[in-house]
Amino acid sequence: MSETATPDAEAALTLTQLIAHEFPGTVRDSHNHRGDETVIIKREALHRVCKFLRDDERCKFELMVDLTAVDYLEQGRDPRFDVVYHFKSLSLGHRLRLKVQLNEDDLRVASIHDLWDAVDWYERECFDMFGIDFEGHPNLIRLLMYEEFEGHPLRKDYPMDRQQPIMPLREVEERHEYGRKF
Amino acid sequence: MSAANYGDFLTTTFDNVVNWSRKFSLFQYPFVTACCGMEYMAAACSHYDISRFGAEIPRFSPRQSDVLWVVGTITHKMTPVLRTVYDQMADPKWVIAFGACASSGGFYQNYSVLQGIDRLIPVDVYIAGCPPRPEAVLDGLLELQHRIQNDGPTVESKMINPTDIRHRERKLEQLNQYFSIPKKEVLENIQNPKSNRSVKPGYTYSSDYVNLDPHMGYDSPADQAKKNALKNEQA
Repeated sequence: MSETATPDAEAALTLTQLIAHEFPGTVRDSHNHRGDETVIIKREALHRVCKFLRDDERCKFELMVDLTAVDYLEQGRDPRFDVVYHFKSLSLGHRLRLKVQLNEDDLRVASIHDLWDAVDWYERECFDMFGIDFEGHPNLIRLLMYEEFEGHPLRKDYPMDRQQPIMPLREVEERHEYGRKF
Repeated sequence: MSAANYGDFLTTTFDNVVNWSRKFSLFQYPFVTACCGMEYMAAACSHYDISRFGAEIPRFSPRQSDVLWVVGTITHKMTPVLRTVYDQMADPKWVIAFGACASSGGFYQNYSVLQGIDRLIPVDVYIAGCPPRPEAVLDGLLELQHRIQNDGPTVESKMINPTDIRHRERKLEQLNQYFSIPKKEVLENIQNPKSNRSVKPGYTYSSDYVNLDPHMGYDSPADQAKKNALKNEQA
């Protein structure tokens, strides 16, 4: 953000500018397509920013809409994973998308379970599907897959045809071949 | 039914009569998990009226039913349920794979879906379609009736029910399973959990509460003592 915000001008700040103003040095990138505001912040600042977004009078994000992750393996991006947070303010009527980028060898991010209770199962699903460790979550176990399941199926390097049965399966004749042909 | 009509008499064999009565009194167990269920309902209700073919009432207890309709996608997580339902059905019993998902996994070629229920239980008739039309459903039922009439039990085979003919080994395995309690693998799995979750002190996992006796639903005092001893060893 280039110009310094005066108290008079603060009311007119967009959410992106507000976060950049309140937490200098944490915003890595942002874009705003027709009011669809997206802020990419540093991982360390996530919990502080979320607490600010929930409690501040200008933000008032009461509703935690969605949490998911994206694997950019096939794009070859260096921070491989994005964790994406969607917030909605019921009283002020605006929305915000937060993103945190995570490296493959250090998949940790702070849990925001103490701020929104609704995030409980989202974080468990995200852990289940992508193996992202939400530090501070009280019960981080698999949500959808079974306990014996190995690996995280929504990662792009999980083999598409891999089956992990929990019951012993019968021998049947293979009627077709599985998997993509490269 | 091979019977010859000599004037006022009707002659046949005992097997034929038994199989004939079986094929026209099929009690169904619909195991409905997905959108194919709508087509099953359409076939069962009055427009197509599956009771014209003797398959009158859906029974929602596997112990009262003869035909297991597996209608829809079966995930790996659901396989123990389907297997239990199949095991609870009394002989003679038949299985119909209804639609593409039950027959082959359909377009769910992924990490979670069983690629055809014939990998889990023996299947008599596959009905193609995604979902199948009610005409195809009725065609599948007629095919099953044909097979019951022609491939059913005979006196010569000395096997009373057709399920025994098809998978005698599995029955033995099933019996062994019921009498091997507590399972050694279960005990080992408690000591060395295979799951890949991040293990942290202070967390409780459901595998800490593995039931040693999977068929009872609750622990006997002896089992509870064993389990507590195991837990104390771990701690």
